[in-house]
Amino acid sequence: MTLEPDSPTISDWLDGRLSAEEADAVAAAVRANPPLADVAAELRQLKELLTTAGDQPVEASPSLTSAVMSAITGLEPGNEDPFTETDEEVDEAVAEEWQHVEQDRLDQERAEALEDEEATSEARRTEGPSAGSDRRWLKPAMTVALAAGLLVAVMLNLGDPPAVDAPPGRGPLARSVEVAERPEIDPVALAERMIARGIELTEGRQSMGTLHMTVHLGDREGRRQFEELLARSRVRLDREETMEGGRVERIGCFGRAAEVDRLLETLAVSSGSVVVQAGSLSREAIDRLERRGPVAEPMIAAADAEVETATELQPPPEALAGGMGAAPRAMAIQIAEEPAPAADIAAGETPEEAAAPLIAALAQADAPPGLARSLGGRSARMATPPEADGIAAAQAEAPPAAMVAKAAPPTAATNDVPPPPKLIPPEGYVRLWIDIVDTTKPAATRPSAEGTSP
Amino acid sequence: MQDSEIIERVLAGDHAAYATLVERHQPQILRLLERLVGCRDTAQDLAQEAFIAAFRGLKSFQQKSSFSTWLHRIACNKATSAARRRRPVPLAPTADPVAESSDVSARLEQADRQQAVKQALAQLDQRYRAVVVLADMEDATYESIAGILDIPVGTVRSRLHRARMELRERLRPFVAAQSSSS
Repeated sequence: MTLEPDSPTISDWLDGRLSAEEADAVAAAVRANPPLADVAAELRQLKELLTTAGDQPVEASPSLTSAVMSAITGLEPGNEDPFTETDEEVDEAVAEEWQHVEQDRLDQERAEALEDEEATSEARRTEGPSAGSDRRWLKPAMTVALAAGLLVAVMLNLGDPPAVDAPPGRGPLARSVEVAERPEIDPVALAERMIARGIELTEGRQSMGTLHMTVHLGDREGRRQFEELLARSRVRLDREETMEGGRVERIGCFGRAAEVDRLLETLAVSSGSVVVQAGSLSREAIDRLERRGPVAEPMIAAADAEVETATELQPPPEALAGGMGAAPRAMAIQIAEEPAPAADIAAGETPEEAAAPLIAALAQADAPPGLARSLGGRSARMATPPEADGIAAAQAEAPPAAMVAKAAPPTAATNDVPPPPKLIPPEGYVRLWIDIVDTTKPAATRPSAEGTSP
Repeated sequence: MQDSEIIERVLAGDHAAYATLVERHQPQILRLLERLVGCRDTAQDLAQEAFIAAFRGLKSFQQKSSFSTWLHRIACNKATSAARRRRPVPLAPTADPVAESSDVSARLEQADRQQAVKQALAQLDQRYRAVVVLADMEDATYESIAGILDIPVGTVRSRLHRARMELRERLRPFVAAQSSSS
């Protein structure tokens, strides 16, 4: 019998779940293979460690009993499903919160618009009676237009973010799994089928859905606005870690692909001028960006050999002037994709056959970066000028887009920060790691940070 | 009195009898939740939610499994939902990690081990954590884990092994220490 350390059969053996015959075969295989024997011995010791660590007695808490009994007073045992907090319900709660946030923002915008209108009317009144009498029709017309505009804004903003319905190969899931290039294959469904058959695809699921992003914040206001942006988004934070002497805060979050794209898009727009890799955002997200402002021709970012195609995005002036557009420009965002395994399907192949090289590639996901790159890993950089410092700088004259692209800083702040752990997002979700770098704090040990400019 | 008898009494209108079920099962549920969420206070809150949810859904409990298994499943579901909703709570040191050890250095060593285990578990994906906690700390069988988590036994098997392999990496110094001492 040949066994790999990753085989669950080893755990079966340690847990005494094998027949005598199978157990003998595993024992022989372990004896014949010293590395495997080491793994088995360590797993056995781990089991002991967990068992002893789990020996803590937990006493009954009278307060818990009384709290439960008090809570059920007046209730009747019913047929309610106790497994209630489904994704959909959590989503509804988040959606409700999102609506409140959006409604507040719209109320504020409406109040500002009315103030502007009153100020304009006042100015017209001071111009003289003839001007006012000539344009009496203007006020009701403007009010109607304003109301219509607000109605449209409410309709556009209060709904769910549009579902990502990009063509295969163009949506967010396509950023790492080449099988998505084949219209007949849905990589998620494929992964699900593999998992249902007991084939471990966990690395692949992660590779499909993990993004890592670094955000540099120049001042407290920038941080506040960034946190506000996160709070407005629908991504859910579930991990938090501080590194590099408190200078880098890493948060892990996840959200549905459309939600993560929406957050990335907002960051892209609010950060001023950015360069993103085509494909890092879904086609639909890029389309939305294009509707907001001109998108330059795709360009080759020679600064980084890993960046194959970049799209330069220049937000409209109003995006910089207020609202979310006033979010920190003193940020450089690096989006680095996880290693992207490649697989392809030949004519006549079944999805399972096609998945075989994918699975093999995924098994190498922990391989050195060179190999990871050869599997199709890519990185992209979105950056604003390094000299930009907070909101004051954000409101200064924006440099020409091309110059911004060339001046893109190296985003080297996380050179000394370990890569995020490989965590699998919940099904249907995309995991996003964000390293928030406080640039007001000195770097702890980063002698090479200055020298990584392209 | 068996759980099933108490449940019948509760369903018949004797709601006070539910307190017996709460008292009987809360140590296991609290311990499980504390291991899953890494925080005693949160575990208390979730245990309360789980017992209330069980009461509200008691009529739907068809006794195909034991009440304990059903309750464990509700608790695991609560822990999973909590992990999705909330920011993680910083891991607090275990209040009384070593109860009976007399030697001070041994107590400190064990406290270190327990804290390391707690942190390593916290870094595991929730799905893996639930499986390994149930299997190796709660001594549940694969079949009962499958029932609690509502997943196939084959999935339990693969998740458990993966969880152990990850924990083995994270706890290598302690595993090595055990190795050298054993």
